[in-house]
Amino acid sequence: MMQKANALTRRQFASRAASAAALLGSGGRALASPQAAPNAAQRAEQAADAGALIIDKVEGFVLRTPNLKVPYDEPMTMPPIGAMTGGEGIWNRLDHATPTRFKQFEQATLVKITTKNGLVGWGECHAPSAPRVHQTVISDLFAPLLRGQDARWINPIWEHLYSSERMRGYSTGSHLEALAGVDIALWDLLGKATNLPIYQLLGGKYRDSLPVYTGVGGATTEAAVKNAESAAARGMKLVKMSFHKGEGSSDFERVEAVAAAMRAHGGQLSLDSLGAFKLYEAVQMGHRLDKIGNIGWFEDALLPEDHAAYPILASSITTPICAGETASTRFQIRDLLLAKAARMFNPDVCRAGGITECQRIAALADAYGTVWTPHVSTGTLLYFAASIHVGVATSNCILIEGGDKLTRPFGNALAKTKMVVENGMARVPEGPGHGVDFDEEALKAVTVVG
Amino acid sequence: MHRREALTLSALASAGLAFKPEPVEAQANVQAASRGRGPLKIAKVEAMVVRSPRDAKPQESLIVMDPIGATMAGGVGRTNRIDTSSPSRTPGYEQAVVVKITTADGLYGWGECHAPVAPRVHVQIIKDILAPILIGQDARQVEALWERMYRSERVRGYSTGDQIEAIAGIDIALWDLLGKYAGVPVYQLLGGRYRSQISTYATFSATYTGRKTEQTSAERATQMVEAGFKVLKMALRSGPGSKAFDEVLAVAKAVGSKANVAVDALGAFTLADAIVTGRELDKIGNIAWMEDALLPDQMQSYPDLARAVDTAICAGEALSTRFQFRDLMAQRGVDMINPDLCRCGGITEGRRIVWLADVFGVLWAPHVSTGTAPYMAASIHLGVSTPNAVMMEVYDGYKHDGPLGNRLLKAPLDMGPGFAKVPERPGLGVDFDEKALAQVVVA
Repeated sequence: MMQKANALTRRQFASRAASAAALLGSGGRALASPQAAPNAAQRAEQAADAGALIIDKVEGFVLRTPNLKVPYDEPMTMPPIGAMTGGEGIWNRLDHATPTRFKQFEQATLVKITTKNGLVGWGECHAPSAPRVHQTVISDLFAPLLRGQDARWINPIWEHLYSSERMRGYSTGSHLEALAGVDIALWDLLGKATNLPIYQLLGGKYRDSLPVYTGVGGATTEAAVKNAESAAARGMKLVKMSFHKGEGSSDFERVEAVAAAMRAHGGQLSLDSLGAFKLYEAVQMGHRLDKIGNIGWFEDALLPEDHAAYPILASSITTPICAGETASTRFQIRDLLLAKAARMFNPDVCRAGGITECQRIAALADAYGTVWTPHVSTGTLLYFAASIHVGVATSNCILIEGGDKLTRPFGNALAKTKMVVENGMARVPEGPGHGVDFDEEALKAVTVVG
Repeated sequence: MHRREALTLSALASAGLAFKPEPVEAQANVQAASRGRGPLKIAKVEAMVVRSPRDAKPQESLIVMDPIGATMAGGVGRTNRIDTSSPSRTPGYEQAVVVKITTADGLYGWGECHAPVAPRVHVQIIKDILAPILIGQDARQVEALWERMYRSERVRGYSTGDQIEAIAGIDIALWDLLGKYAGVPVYQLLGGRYRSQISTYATFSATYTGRKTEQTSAERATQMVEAGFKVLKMALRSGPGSKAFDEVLAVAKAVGSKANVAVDALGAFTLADAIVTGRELDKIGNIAWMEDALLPDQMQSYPDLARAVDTAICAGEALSTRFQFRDLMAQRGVDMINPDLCRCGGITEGRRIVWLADVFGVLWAPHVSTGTAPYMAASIHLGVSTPNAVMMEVYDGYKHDGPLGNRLLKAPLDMGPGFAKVPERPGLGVDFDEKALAQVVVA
């Protein structure tokens, strides 16, 4: 089956390369926009370049499901001011980590870039809580910088957009998530212009599919075990569970029960603490996790700013420490690597600057002999697809989050061509660009701000 | 020697005056009625984009940036590489976000976000993330509210930039409210003041803010020093032998022993070029400090620079939160920091940052760039109440006289060449004349 897929791909590749050549040769004279003409020589060169993909329109769309007509800021929930972490004695302290939540809603910001010759690229920003912010970053800052530029200059555009607020210190958060959305749309455009999948433009794929994992939870230990069994039955060899409390709570028993359930299937359990622990607690918990034997990794055990403590934790326990879903650029990952703060990383392609930056992050992690796994959380199948493209194109990507992404409301329901996850493996789309073609009607139904 | 000189300039501040609150104005009755009663329930959170000149141009049309990839850093050979530090700008326009928080009793506080380029982003963050957290809460629990706002996106990694600038605007408004509620100036709530004013320095260019002048930089500098400035700061984004470096030399020579020149590279140098340039600056003799020599992404190189160069190394205007400053100072990367209160997280976070600086023996000087009165007032209040503040930046030296300055206020800030007096009125002591403010509000 693998052979067949490869053969098909190679044939597709040949025909696409031919059509790409044709497209680039017959694109007509693309004209540089008059509003972006600071360098005459450069523009003349560009105008003479028949393959130029001059950016005409850059739009952000806010998606929400379910699309109830509620006032924008109503769905947000957060523990009250001064909320404590719970537990006994020194376990009970001010909760510094729990973020805003949008209980019944999933949200995202999509980016659509249209070129003068009518080509369209789609990207996505990870934007679970305030997607209108990303939309504003795009409309007020990135769109004016992009219009009239040649979409093929992906790296220079990335540096340009990053430089736009670099000296003002905008190195994280919605700014980089918005940049990620633009970057993914540019790669999609280049893929469509050349009629090639993104992984091919990144230098080719190591494999056709990536193992997926998914989060399991449940009100009771029994429910969590049942969810883990269900994931294992669908072919997943790893599941992840949140793990917030230590001594004196029921969490550790739950960890042992779910780990035992996965062990029966030859699988692993990873734990995600979302910054809940102090160093000594994480070390204590880590030592107990070490004994279980099939813990995949211990993720975000400490607060993201706790740079001095992470290396101590990483060297104190044998379970691999995973960090990086909050990181936004190669610079942040560099600091973690230099400090030996983690054994593996889970950058988010729709947060950490998109495909361009995550490719660099993966290469940097590889230089230190570490592996990575894309963080995939709230968002559409485009998010999943873009992450798979970077994943299959890098040697040190081990698996991908989002095993249940496609059956969620933002999954295959939004697309004409369905993505495939089977036997615990997510197949990289073979269509041009990232390969996700939205069903416009379905998309319209979940678009709340256009 | 010059280094010590630069860092002790603030010792010139005059002896403290007795605290005499000036008569409160329009809000007097509301303030008096709410005093000592609580909670102060937050009823309304407003964020306004101000722009000067105010015109109908769409936000996105103001942005200018040098062409992609084609912009080189200049110079020859090694120094001529792709420029990755020049930010987007809105030439001819000044912009900011003014925040107003009103309680159920009708008491209000003013705050501000540093937001020179895309201010509607900050407005959106306040509307969609921060306002829902704040409405209905007790405005007096300022630090707990800060933690809650920061926590809202903390484990999503929103630790810099627009997010923290938005929190800063809210935080400053809450301190203004608390001061009005207590009937005392903000510096009093911060533990009292060391002095009644802070020295100011001018971000300097002969032609800043469109001023038409036939003067050379040296002539203009001499004039400003005669007017009272003890430090002038110049942009220096290229090394020895460049025109900009020669201009620094000329100005430094012209002001002589009467003043110092600080230089600001805005991230233009590599470590190697920063060291070469810094060693040349060492020879001049009256360089106050070398600022932002490296990119904010290259904080790990600052200790190498600080060790190689005698001139005081300053950084921090791009940084947010105590966590970023901690990392810079713990590795002895700087001699002084210039946090921006409307960026780094407001008075609550600024206070923690400068406490931390004090622990490391590091001085601070508030960064004050494009913006309005709450920005300047917040910087003055924290400045006079902390032992390690040396001086405060005033863009062009006369920012308070600009279109977004004192002319929008009911009572002006008392600032002049080389000094800024701390207002003795309750809260920040700056109250917008809302009619005047409306003249510059665009969204």
